[in-house]
Amino acid sequence: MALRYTYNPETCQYEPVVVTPRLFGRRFLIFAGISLALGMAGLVYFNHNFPDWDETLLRKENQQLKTEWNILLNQAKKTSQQLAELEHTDDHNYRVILDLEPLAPSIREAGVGGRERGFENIPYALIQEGYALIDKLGNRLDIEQQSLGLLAEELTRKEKMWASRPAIQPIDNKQLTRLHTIFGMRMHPLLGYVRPHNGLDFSAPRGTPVYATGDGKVQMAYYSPSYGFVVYLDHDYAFETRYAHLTHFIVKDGDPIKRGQVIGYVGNTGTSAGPHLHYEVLYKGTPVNPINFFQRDLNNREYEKLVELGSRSLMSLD
Amino acid sequence: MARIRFRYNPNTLKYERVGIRVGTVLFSLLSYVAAGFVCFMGLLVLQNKFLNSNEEKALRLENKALAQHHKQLASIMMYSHHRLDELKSQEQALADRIFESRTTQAPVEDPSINRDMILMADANEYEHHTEALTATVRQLLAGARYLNEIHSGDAGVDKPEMARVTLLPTGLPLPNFEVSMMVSGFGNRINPFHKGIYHHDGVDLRAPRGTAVLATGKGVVTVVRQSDLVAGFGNYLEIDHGNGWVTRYAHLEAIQVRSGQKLKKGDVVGTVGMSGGATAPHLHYEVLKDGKNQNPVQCMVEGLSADAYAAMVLLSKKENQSFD
Repeated sequence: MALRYTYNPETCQYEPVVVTPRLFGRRFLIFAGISLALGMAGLVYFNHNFPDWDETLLRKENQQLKTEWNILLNQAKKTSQQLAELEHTDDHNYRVILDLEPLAPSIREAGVGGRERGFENIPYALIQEGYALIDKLGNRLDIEQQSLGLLAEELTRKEKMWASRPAIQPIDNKQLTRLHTIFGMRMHPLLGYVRPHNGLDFSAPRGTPVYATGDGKVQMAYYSPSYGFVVYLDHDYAFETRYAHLTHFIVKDGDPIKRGQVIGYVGNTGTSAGPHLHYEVLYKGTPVNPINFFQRDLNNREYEKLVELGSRSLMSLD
Repeated sequence: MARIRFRYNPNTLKYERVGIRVGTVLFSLLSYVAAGFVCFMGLLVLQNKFLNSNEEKALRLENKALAQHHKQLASIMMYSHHRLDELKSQEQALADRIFESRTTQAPVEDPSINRDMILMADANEYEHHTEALTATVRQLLAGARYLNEIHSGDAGVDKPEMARVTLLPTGLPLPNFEVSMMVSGFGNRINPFHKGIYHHDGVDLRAPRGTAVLATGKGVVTVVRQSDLVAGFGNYLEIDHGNGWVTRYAHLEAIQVRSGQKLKKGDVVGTVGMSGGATAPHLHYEVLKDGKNQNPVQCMVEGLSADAYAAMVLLSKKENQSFD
């Protein structure tokens, strides 16, 4: 850049302008000052007219976090709803079926407060709500888990009961030549006088397998002068069955028995007028008509008919 | 102190005044603006870094808490969900054991799905469906009008015909009937005691002990049988509705009617129990026409919406284990 001059009226001369460090410094300071002032003015204007940048970012983050929280809370509510459905099925389906009282709502809602909490101190409503929801959900899950466990246990107990109940015919239909549906008072064919007949007679060839009609254990297996070789089964839950006039039995006292297991073979031992099985069912120690306790191909209505028939006939084999 | 500046022009050998040129002014102005902008940015950064408003501090704290607890809660949530799934499979296992069937929980076909499909189909097909629906609706309306006329006695319908329609046992045998009460239907089912297949002559309706049992139609009580025996129907009763229609209610806990008693539709006849051979408290309900067992589902229509009825039919078709 070409030199600049100033006219000095005192010396009447043009003098070159020399930029001394002092002058430069002064100029720089002026420049810096003015720009700083401009900058500050700009800042004041900006602060006044635009939101804080950091705050904007934070707010945005906050919004996003809250959205995520709401998603989480919704999930919790959905899970809780599904659990409510499960609780409803538990109360109104399984508990009805298993003959249990539905759980009281107070029990289902209980447990809150028993736990170490402490989220009450967190000053944010969303977080508190979240913890409260999940805390409650956890308690209800605990209770439902216990409840389902209890139902499974109860069902196991009932299944055992159902499996124990005499429910099949002790002789296969293929081998059965005749079913004498006589139960009650009748003339004894050998003794020649009237006495109660406490069971049913199944005519079948000697050696036909005899099946246990329900789960249980052998109470007694022995020879009796009247019953011949006879097996007494104890089915628990107040049921007993007896199988008499066997050629022989293949179980001994105390053996555990499954339904359908062969316990002996049809014979003609004891006071018997021909090979047959005399089958008794006792409920609470009293003989009941066994016709009610084998439903193979019969439905309840056909039963009721058979029962009626059974009480009419007057012939039996022992 | 605007001193006049001069420049030496070697061509003219003169000092010439340096005029104020636009370029120079613009340049210096721009440099001020640029420097000012740099200052502004610098100050902004400094302000953001060191000067935090209370609001900002609160936001920072909140965001931190939100993020932290979200992580924690999300993991508990996942665990809870996992537990719920486990409970659901336990429940499924229970259902399998009770009904001896893997299909009990099969999703019931949702009629609304078909509705959506109709709406999504192309216009021609949609029109076709609309026509079909319109025809059905017209038919139903005609039927309804006919029934209305019978009930109001306007349509010279003869008495037997009127009785035929009005005496049908079309009611529901339990109050507050829900479709899910249908636990086992008519047809071949598994016997709960010996696990063999047998023909189930009625439907099993799940209900708690003591629930009222209602007469499903007008009629006369013809059979009342009480039995302590833990086999068979237990306590049961039969109602003759005339025209060969008979309904039977079994496994009752208590019977509240006498033989020969006249009943209206909806009268309480007894309470649900598990007398006789039953594995759970339930009502065994049979419908007979001329002595032959009919599928009771066909008669259980009053007060059920079409969707509910369809769902009930689906439930009744599952070949599961019955309760008696």
